[in-house]
Amino acid sequence: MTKRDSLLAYSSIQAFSYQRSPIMPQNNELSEDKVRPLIRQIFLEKPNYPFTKLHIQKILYKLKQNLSERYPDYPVFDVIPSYWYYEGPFSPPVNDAITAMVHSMELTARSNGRYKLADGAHFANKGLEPYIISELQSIVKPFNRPYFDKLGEDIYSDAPSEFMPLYKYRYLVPFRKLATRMRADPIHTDVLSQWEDALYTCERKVPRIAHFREFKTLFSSFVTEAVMVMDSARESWDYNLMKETYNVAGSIWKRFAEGIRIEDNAHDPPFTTELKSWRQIFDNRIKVLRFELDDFTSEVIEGVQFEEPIEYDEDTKQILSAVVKSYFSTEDFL
Amino acid sequence: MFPDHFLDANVMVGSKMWLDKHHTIATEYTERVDREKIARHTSQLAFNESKRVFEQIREIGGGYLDALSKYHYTTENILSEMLQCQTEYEKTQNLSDNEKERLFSFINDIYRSSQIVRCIQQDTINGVSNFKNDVLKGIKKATKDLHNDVKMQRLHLYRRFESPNPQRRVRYAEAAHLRRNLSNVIVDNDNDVELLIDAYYLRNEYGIANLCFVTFDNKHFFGQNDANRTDIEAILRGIYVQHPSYGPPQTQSD
Repeated sequence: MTKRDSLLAYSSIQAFSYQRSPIMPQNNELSEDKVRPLIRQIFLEKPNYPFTKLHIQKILYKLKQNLSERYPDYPVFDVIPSYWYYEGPFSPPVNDAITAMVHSMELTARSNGRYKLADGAHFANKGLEPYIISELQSIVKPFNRPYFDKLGEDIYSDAPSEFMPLYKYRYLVPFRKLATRMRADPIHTDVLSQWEDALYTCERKVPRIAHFREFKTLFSSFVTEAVMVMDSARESWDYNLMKETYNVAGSIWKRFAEGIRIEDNAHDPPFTTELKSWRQIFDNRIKVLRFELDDFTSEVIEGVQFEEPIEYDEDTKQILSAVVKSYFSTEDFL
Repeated sequence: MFPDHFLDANVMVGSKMWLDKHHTIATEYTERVDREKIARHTSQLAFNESKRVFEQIREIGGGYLDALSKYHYTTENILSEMLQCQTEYEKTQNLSDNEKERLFSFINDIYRSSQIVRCIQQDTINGVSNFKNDVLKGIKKATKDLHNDVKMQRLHLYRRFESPNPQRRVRYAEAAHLRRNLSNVIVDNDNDVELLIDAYYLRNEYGIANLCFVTFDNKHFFGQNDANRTDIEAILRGIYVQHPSYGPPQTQSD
């Protein structure tokens, strides 16, 4: 089969598969048939590694990323369309194919969400072009935990918004490591300053688009409260408050992912029929986030110790005068 | 005299500045209510709005100062360079008209305060970055101050339906009806309507006979010839709208 032939074949499969429901393609088997050899190849490359669905999603996205760079006119991987979501690019046909492979006993599912080749499942993997196999080999062979973390960061360089890699890798991931521990050693002030700085930078990177307006306000409110919690952690560590901050930080991330997938550069064309329902989900969950943040504000007020009285030097007074005057000057108050 | 006041965001924010007539009025107002032991309330919505005043400048002002620290200066005229950088920054950030106005006012003021000019003259890159850090620190302090007022119980932060007595809660249908009527008075600002509804809920849930709603916002709450105030007070029984510069508010019994 020539490259042109396979392109035509893939295009027609895609058109057929996604003409009704992109989330659950009408002709699921056709799509699965194209995804399965890729998944098989991943397991063949590293037969003893217990991959998760997320691992496979990331490997295949990376494959798509590499091939689109090397073969820009040859969109062979339109067969695995994806949209950006909680864990990065998510392709429903990939998850469907894994489930189907468990049902057909090619893979065994473990209770911890990992998958391995089924005992005695030795199959010849046909239908993949040599350059795809070689590309997959280069991604899968060195696979281990640190490599997976690095792969995640690489993939996020492709994210539809600058906010995503910044928030995830400069704040959320390093914060998770500390926020979820029961006993805290003192945190280095530099670390707290880095997180604070990351949050301020993220605040400026929230997209200025209509449906993100409320999110933008809520994110700023989160930054204000989270910075206060971090400030208090310079002196004493409140496990419950840190854990709560981390929980809200996680909700913020999820709401962002639910909102950003609506943008054109965050989903492949087959998902355009989903945009209306995604928008509805996003709008509803933003309302819930408002309540969550109000609760968080109350917890911060209760849990954080502030200096009393708060003193201002002359320079700070001048700065705050400028801040507040800019507010009064744009409102019609007096 | 009204023993209970509900503060709009602009009154809370007005007390956190030093070089403006609003500050004088807000400070005199605060001293008066302290002296007269008036209970101060606000709602989560107003509290969030007052935080937002600082957060918005933290975002756009911080971003602008970041851009300014990397800006290539071509002339000796610092103000013109600052404004040129502002134009470029606005283009890349797609700021709304309101944000542009706020940023311009902020830049104009910090330029006049001469602090930033001093920073730029000393060292363009580090000077502006240091100044940006001062802005962020100042904003952090002001928002802490707002929180502290609540923590130290100088200000009661009301959240809807917090009353331990469910019988006092406003019925949904009643609130919808009030909201509709208020929207006819304050036509272009849903937030202000919700603030008044907050005040009304608070009054009911806490059994406050008369609640004084204090605001600097002439346009929405007073209107021409005080017409909006009269209408609001007719719709929300037990709510009285006052400007902080007015003398001590008097109830009819006073």
